[in-house]
Amino acid sequence: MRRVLRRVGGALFLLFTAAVVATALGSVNIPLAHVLGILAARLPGLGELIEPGWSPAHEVIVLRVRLPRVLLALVVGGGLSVAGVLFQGSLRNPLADPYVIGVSAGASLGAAVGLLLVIPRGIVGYGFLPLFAFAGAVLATLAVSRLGQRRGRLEPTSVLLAGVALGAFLTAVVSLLMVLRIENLQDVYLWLMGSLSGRTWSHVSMAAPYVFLGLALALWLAKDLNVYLLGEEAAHSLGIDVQRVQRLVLLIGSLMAAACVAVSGVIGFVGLMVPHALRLIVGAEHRRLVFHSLWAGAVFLLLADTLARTVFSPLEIPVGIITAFVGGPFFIYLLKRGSDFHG
Amino acid sequence: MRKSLALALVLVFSLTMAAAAAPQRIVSLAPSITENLFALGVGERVVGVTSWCTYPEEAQSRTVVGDALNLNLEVLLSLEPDLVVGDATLVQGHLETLESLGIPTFVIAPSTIAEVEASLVELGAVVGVPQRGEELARAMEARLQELVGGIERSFRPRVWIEIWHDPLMTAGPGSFLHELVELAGGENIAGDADNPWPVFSEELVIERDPQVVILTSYNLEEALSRPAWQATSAFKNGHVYEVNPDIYSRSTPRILDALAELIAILDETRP
Repeated sequence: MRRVLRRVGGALFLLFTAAVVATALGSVNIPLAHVLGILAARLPGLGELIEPGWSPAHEVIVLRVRLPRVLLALVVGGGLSVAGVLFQGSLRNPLADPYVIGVSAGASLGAAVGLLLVIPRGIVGYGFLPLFAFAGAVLATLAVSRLGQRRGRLEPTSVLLAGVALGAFLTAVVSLLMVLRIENLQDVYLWLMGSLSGRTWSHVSMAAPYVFLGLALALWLAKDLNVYLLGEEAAHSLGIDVQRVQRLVLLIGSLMAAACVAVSGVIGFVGLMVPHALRLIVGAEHRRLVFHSLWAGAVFLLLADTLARTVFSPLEIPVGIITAFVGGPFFIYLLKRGSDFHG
Repeated sequence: MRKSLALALVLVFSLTMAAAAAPQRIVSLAPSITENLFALGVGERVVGVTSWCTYPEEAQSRTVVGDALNLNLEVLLSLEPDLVVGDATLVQGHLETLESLGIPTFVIAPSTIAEVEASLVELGAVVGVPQRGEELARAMEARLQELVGGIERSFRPRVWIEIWHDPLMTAGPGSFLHELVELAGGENIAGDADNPWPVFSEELVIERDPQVVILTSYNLEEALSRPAWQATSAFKNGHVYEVNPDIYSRSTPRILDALAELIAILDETRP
């Protein structure tokens, strides 16, 4: 128990430090003392003691631009990674990622419909964009899990194939929409690339509940997933309702991924790489894997996004470029080391 | 006497108020807006621009807050703007984010020359130089009438406007280029398209046999080497032109420079 507490404490400390450091960095140079002051002034009890010596613009930048973006990177990075663990575990396929069952294609179509057909007419504002994407992702997921059934049972291979097929079809529909309705193209293009730029507190509050709830359920189901690793027969003989666990895990993973993709667009590689990397480091036991994937994914995406907004400042690059650029080589290194290790 | 004195006082008061309320730190999110702000004589008050804002040259000395797609919110906020002007045909989502951060924003979305004139009046009023805005709009209208007044209308050359070659993209109704061609007395062969930037079939271009080809992406050499196009009247008679896309697409008074150029081009094709 004490060891668990120490681990959780350690992870929280790391997340907190990373968040503060990332909030202190940006294309506008704000002295660290001011950043800390602005943050501390918001803490109850401390606020009255601090004399604000910073400009109001800097306060807005720290509290309403950087901080929500930093927290969103943590939430989305953690969420995608845990969703990756769940998909890889329940489908028992190393190539499964949070998008494999059509989440990204569904979300893209939802966002494209919103940006090309609904928002330009002034029916709703841009604030509703995540809802369109979320609805698209959830609908696609439901379709794939129905298509992936054989004689009433979920079959991992069928789920994967249905996901790939539906994904290709939905992507084609998005492209078709883009060709036919070209007016709002920049917005769609920007969304498809995936970014955490310009996100606000409302995005954080949209995604966070799904990620936290999904995390709790993932930890609760971890034991069942461990048994399932031994094979369906073994799991069955140990009294686990394999179908129920599989469906539940897929549903939780899909909702987490849908919530993340709805606020950030499609950010690739995090949900595929982080779980694998950690499986090589901490092993395949699911409770441990979920926990470590959560903080590692969170810190990884935060790091990538901080680089995305500072390296070529004042211009920003899409965070997906960084996740693949930094993550790819690191992952290959881990794979090589892993294979040497196992002989 | 007393009445007119009171009136004068009210006038002076409201003018001072207008001057005091006029935005002093303006950020422009589009090349055309930057250009119009300088044309309105408030270039001094422009503190932030995009990396695409190349005209007038002085605009290039301002802080860059983003490009056509991306916006660096931090840099923008650090300029402490009291007005951000954006074009709704560019990325609208950014403007909503700015509003939620409490930054006053003003959006213009002109898509015709008449709307450009109206937007100059509006922009002038918003930045506190209403008279200058109206002057610019009137001058534009006068020049427009003068330019289109002398056009020979009995012959309408068929024009192919090329925005991009792969995919083959043209300008349809709703775009400035379409309006300019029609105003100049030409006939846009993609005039039946249902959106401003349609992807168009090469076969249809050949069949409709343009007499003038206008290229807007600096690809004259590539265009001239297309085998199937050699049969068109424009190619046979050497009426293929490369134009500067900036003045043909930016919603500023300079769009009439484009119109003048286009009228001259079409004149060359008239018998």
